Amino acid sequence: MLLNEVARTGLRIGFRRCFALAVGVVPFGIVYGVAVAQSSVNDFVGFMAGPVVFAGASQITLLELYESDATWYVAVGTSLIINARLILYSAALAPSFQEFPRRWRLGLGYVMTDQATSLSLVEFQNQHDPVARRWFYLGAAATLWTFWQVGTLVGVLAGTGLPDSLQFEFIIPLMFTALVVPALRNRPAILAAVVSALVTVGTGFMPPGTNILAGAFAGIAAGAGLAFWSASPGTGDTGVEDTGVEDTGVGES
Amino acid sequence: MSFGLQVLLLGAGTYLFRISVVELASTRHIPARYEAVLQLIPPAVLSALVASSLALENGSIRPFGPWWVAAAIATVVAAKTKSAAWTLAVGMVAVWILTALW
Repeated sequence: MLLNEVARTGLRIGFRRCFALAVGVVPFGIVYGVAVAQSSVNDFVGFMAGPVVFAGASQITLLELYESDATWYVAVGTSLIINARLILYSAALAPSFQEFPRRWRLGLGYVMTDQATSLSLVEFQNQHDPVARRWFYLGAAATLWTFWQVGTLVGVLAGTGLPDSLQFEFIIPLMFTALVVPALRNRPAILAAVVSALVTVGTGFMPPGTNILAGAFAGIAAGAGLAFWSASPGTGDTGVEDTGVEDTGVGES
Repeated sequence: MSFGLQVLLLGAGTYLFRISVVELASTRHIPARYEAVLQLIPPAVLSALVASSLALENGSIRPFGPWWVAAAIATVVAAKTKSAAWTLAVGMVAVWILTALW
């Protein structure tokens, strides 16, 4: 047997949790692949952006900017801003990744996505074994990675996309809804989400990606404010960790 | 600069983003109060992504229509089932039906 029981179980659960989301990214892999096929970019080079970058929205943006003759630093810089939220995910995962060997951290970092991060952080609430954790993350992340590359390949080879009438762009808000709802575990998290959404919409006039960062930071600040305010004074403990809604509403009554 | 080189730059930068805090914090003790703040990152970032993909259309607010109603239905399904498969499936069917009826 190549892998032990913990590894196989972790991979299997990770795969299962991520499967529907991975199927959901296929249409966007196709969108990117079709854009490559219809662009001036070499098909193979365009496809290789998937394995090299593995961040769909930024790949599509980079290609669009390249095709519109943007200067290289504008194209790369704008795409990097779209990916800057990964720094926040890196912070969110840091406490659990601390327990992993360095080569695992460096390898798992490569496949860090919205989906793998949020699925894992929900799973880690109940799974505290570092070995089981890293295999779960790998199972989820590798599933998403595979489906993304397959979608891109299909798009590059087919050269024509899915009909607009299917409204596949709607999968994007659906996917993030499926990820955010399980993360709303207490009042600070709910406040963070609400403030973030309002600020993101309110700053919608800003360059793509920057409004998302503005919203996220405002949301985190608001949620942190509520968490510290509702924590009992003097203990230095926030009272947020591993607690439910009813335990964090101290300041409300 | 060729597209291939731009891809390599974007890939390198994106990878550095991904491992940044993970590596910087790898040997440091993270106090509980900071961990509590870190736990707010997924709800805040994901909510911003929902807001920008649902509520905004080319920088302005998306007019009320099938997307809004289908998203509300999907939110209820996500809360009840905690299942991404159900959320995606019901959400897509809802938006198709609503678009046909609207």
